[in-house]
Amino acid sequence: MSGRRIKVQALTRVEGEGGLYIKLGPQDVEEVCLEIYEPPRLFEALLRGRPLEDVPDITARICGICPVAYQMSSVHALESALGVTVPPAIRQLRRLLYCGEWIESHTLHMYLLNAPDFLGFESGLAMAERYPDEVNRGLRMKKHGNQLLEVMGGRAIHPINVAVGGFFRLPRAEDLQRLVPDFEWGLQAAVETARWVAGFEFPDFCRDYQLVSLAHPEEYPMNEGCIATSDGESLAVGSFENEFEERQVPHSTALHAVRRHAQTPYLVGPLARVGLNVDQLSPTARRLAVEVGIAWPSRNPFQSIVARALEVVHAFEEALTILRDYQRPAHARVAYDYRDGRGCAATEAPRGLLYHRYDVTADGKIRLAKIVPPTSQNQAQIETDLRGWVPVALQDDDDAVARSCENLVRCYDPCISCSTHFLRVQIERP
Amino acid sequence: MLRSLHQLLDPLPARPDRTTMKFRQTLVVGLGSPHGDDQAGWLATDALAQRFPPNDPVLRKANSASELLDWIDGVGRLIIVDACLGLNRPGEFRCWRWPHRAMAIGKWAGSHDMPLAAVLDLAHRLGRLPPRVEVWGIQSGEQQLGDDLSAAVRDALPYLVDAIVESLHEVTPCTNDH
Repeated sequence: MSGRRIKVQALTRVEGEGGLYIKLGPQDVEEVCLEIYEPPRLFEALLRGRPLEDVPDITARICGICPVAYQMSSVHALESALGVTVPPAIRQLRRLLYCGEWIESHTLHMYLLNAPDFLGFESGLAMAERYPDEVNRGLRMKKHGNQLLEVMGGRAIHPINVAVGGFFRLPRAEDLQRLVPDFEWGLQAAVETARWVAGFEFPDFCRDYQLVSLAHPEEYPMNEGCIATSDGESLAVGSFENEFEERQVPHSTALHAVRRHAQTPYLVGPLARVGLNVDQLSPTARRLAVEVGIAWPSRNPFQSIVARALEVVHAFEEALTILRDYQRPAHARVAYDYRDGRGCAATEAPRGLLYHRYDVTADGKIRLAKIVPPTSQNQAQIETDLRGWVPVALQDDDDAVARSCENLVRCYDPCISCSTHFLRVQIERP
Repeated sequence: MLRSLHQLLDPLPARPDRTTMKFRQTLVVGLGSPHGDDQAGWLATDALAQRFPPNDPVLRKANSASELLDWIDGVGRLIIVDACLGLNRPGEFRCWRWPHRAMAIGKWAGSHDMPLAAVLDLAHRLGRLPPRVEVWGIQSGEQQLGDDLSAAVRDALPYLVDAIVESLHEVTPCTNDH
């Protein structure tokens, strides 16, 4: 290995602006930096002093692909601070809303961002011409996910119907019923998708991950549960800041996260969720998890696309159950009184565990906000994985090395816009 | 001659208003957001809604160009209205017929900001792009998030809407010489 430097100026087919710098020494990889130069967005500061009712809509603006995740983590954290418990019917509708987001986010990523890498295409556009049926299938699946967000959330991008205590308006039964035929089609399309991506060729690249996700005794985790790890831990969400630490790094506007005591990286996201909760997947998803022939938990980041596909099957199947059985509740939301306090919550965004904590005042304002997105939690692990991947991918052609590294980064579906509360690949060779 | 009562109460039907059928296969989409001059596409769509009967043409507003993919099947003519950069002065507007070199794709950075040109190209590669696609762009001023519409774009908006109406009626069609 020579002392080369490889730099990807701007990562493509990832959400947001980031680059990659690799410095190669004579014998090994000297340095790998995932550089995030998306400007810091300062949402935590923006929330201070604002009415707590503004939080769901403001935090939703952190991300256009995963706004529901921010709304869910924020309302659950605020309800924790206010001592509010929502009834089962509202709880179920929130899961339905989350199903819509998982479907549209995962599907867009699989079909237009990640699948092209496995099929040897430079872009989703190039792939669309050779695989029009598959891409049209994915776009229709995404469309149905968006339709569910519109019915439940008021609109597909930055939904406006989520409120502390529930929703501003409950959906009408006929509006949900109308989605059933498309979701029946969607479930079958999701099964075909899972079989399609499971047939891709995956590099043999297994990592020593500590997997982290929510876990719940009765359901596949979305909005509630404890924090489980692949080391067998079961942690209360309230202990998140004791167990996980964010820190700044000089080459990135996004914070990195590590386990506080061991100072080691960890992995959140679909690979972790499926790995820790495979038995809680819906019946069809569970059968497919066996059929695809992967021994879960998988620690191969390239197999994240299969985990995403299984979650889309689960989301369509769970959504269908809720759509068919829906009975309109008596009230859209629970009333509450302001009180001084602190509350936190973690929910499972498409990209992984999303933690929020709020300190609120007795007159209903935000005193302090802390938001830890999944992509920033994965940053340290991504860099570690790249350090392990570069020797495997190394060849004389810097462009080929850069492409191979970008392919790996895309497997994590990083949402760089979220991770900067801010793939250029530069390779230096001696 | 006396007429039967039913003829007095139910006279011969009026001739059908042929204009109500004229734009059935036309979809007009205003692209934008609630901020500053980026509202232009949405406001243009709102103004067009005052000039045409419901659903003729079909009018929609979108945050993201990728939403077009949900609406274009069966459409014969697609008109997109959006704020843009690259013209000479704020408020200036023009129309481009797809494909046009001014709508080169460039770098497609991510799933959130799938640019309009990439969406149109994707639809074309999938065989779903309407046979006629026109993009109306109005030059945006320099603004920040949360700003109101600039005076230049606010003053130009009625003329943009008039031009789109004329184009819809084929009085002054959108061509790449427009």
